[in-house]
Amino acid sequence: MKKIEIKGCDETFFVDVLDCGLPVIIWKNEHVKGYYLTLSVKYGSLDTDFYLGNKGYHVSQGLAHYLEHLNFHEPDGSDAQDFYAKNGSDVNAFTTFDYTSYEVYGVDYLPENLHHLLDFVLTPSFTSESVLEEQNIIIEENKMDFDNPSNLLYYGTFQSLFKTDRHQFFITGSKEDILKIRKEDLDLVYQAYYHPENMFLVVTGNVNPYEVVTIAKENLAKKTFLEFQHPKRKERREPAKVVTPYKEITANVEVERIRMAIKIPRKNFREKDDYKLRLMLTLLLQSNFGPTSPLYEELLENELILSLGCEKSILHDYVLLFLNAETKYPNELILKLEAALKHLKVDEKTITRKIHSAIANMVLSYDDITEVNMNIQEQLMHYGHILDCQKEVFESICLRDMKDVLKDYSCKEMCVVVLKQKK
Amino acid sequence: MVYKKYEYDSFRIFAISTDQFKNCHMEVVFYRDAKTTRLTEQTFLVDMMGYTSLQYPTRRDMIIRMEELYNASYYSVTSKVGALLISNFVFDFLNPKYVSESSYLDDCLQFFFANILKPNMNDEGFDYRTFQTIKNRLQADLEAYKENPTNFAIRRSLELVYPQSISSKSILGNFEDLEACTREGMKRAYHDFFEHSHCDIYLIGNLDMDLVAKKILRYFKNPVIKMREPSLFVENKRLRSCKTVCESSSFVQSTLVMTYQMKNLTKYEKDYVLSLFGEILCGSSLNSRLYQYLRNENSLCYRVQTIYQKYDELLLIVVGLEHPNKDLAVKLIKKAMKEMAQGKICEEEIEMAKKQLHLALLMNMDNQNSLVNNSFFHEVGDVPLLEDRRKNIPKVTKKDLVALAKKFSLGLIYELKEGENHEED
Repeated sequence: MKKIEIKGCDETFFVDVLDCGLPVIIWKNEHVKGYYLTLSVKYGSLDTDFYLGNKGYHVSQGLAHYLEHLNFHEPDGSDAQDFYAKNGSDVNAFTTFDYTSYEVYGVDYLPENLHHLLDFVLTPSFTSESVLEEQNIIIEENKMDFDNPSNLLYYGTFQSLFKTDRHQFFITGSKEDILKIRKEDLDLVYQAYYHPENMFLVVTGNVNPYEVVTIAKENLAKKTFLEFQHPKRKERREPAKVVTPYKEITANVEVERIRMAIKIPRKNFREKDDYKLRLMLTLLLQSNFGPTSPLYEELLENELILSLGCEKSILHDYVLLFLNAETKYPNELILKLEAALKHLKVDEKTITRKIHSAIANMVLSYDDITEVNMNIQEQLMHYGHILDCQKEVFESICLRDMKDVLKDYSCKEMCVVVLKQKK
Repeated sequence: MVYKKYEYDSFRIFAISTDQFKNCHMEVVFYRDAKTTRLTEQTFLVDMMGYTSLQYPTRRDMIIRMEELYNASYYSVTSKVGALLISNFVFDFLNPKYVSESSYLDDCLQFFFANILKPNMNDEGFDYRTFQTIKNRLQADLEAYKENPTNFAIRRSLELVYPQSISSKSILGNFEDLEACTREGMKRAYHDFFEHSHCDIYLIGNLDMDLVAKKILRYFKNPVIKMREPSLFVENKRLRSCKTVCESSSFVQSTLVMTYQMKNLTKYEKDYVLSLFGEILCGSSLNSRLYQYLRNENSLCYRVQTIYQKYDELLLIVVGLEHPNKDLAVKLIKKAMKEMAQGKICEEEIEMAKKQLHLALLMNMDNQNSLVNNSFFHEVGDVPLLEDRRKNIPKVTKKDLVALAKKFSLGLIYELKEGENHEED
């Protein structure tokens, strides 16, 4: 087992790759009582079209999430929940665009809980009947998504941004998508993706790393796996242009909201390190639109916003920047934000202060076993490995780097979505 | 974990010393009787005090200072628990041992307490910009509760059960009260708030607590001594019959809320039996009764939620479902409640629920907010400490559960019915 020192944080991660190909990452925290186990598979809602060898396949939107539900069914007819409830532990799961994660919280019974996590996720036991039984439950979950105005705005913006990229579709799919899902599709995906080489186990909390690895090795040694087929997501060429520059959608909202997005080809940025670029984009957005920016203050003073937030993403070939606001005056606000997006600024004092505060945040994140676990998952999905020198990267950012990012930035491809009240 | 109490004339400090966290968490808690007329004003006032201060008169100034203090976090929040109106001023900061500046702890304390003691007001009243920003925010919040079907249905249920009682009032109050607030009036409200609220300070972290207590005395003053401790419990009248109400909406999903009244619970039942009952009925696991009946056996819903308002003597069961399934859901919920009162609970179910609570309590002990919250209700409401609950919940028997189940009576079946036609944007 390898140790990775997290520089500047006084923390150590234990990393091993088991014979079956499963990477295991462990962070030990003796100060807490509990532990958090996550077993994740790199299969998410985006993977609806893929190749196994040369053969192409298509499955319904929402299948990853459906599969997440069904995996809780056990061969003896029970549910994984039954096992964990008896052990006084909690089990749950979530599906993202890119991966599906099965999670267990516990304080006792680590060996039993870890064995069972590896057992139930790696032993499919869904039947045509269980697929049908779960259908209405998922439809009701899906309705909750549709009744949430923030979701409508979130996905609505992706629909404006993207022509082919599948971020525009709900992770759970639509009711029609859910009704189309059949056991054969679920089997196909399970066989293709649920393989240790395509998964990772992350354990954080009060555990002995050597014990965790021993348990995982023991368990997986008893299982046989076919050769991993290395499924490939079908690449879709996404045009650089946004699909709909301006759109209004209606929902049960009392206060109108807007979401603006900018789409920039990743290749436009000279900075090749995705992690550093993400940090710099965050600094750029925070400096210009965060609560310490003069613009934020001005918009509040003129009562043009009730709230304003910003975020960034690097999705495949594109860098995306988002602004979200609650406002009574969408038209006026959009003009102001568009003008600001055309004239972004950076200054050394602000950048230095924000870097220091971000480093403090990073140190504090180690108070929370869930946050550390989620950060590890994110690093493995985004970068394929653990980032051990985040602090150094933060400290390496200088004004010149930021100015380079500004030079590479462009807001030519922009879209706006306004969420209006249903009449 | 070491608990220590420092008593002064007009406030107390409750310190929890632990090396579990790199963060230090501090709260100044003000509490007083919740009166309907006071809700909007106090929420408004406390929000302003958490937003800017005399020393940091704009939000921008305030946040820049927090960033300088290594991303310290300061905010305020008002809540209503039973008959109590509680305002918390919360401050999180990095343990000073990770910081090179020797003045860091003093800088943090000075910042925190000055925000509370020197609010952003002058002779005319509160700062115009702060006042207007918070007013707009509260107005939007008052409007926004209609956006969420669950929140809307819960609020309507409470209004229908106890239209006059404080139990049914939102912490935001109402539009009329918000409109009546003035900058000058808020200045009066500030003095009234200090004069009539009890005040305690809660602190958790890896700190020399004696030293911090001394420093707090230097930075914080609360000149008014209060004698009578307010009560948490609301005396609501007994519900004589069960009403059924259905209201229409344009949401995609219907929401069912069943409101039960729980009368004459003993202290033991409130402290220990109620949480076990809740776990068996509808706990975090899908094995609980309601999940079994509604979701696992009948696929009626994705989520069932139970809300225990023990100080209001209410239990609310909330389900998101399709309208045609509502009657079956009502029948199944009634069946589950009846079975509990008839003693149809197996020992395995009880043991499982005890283990789930054991986990929840231990996880709470890993969380600074939960520890402080528990410490506050221990002092004010005589709620047992987490450790005591962990020791005593395993002693709860089936007999205790049955006795408790018999104290529930159904007061309202409310449905917020889904819209007829849905357009998916």
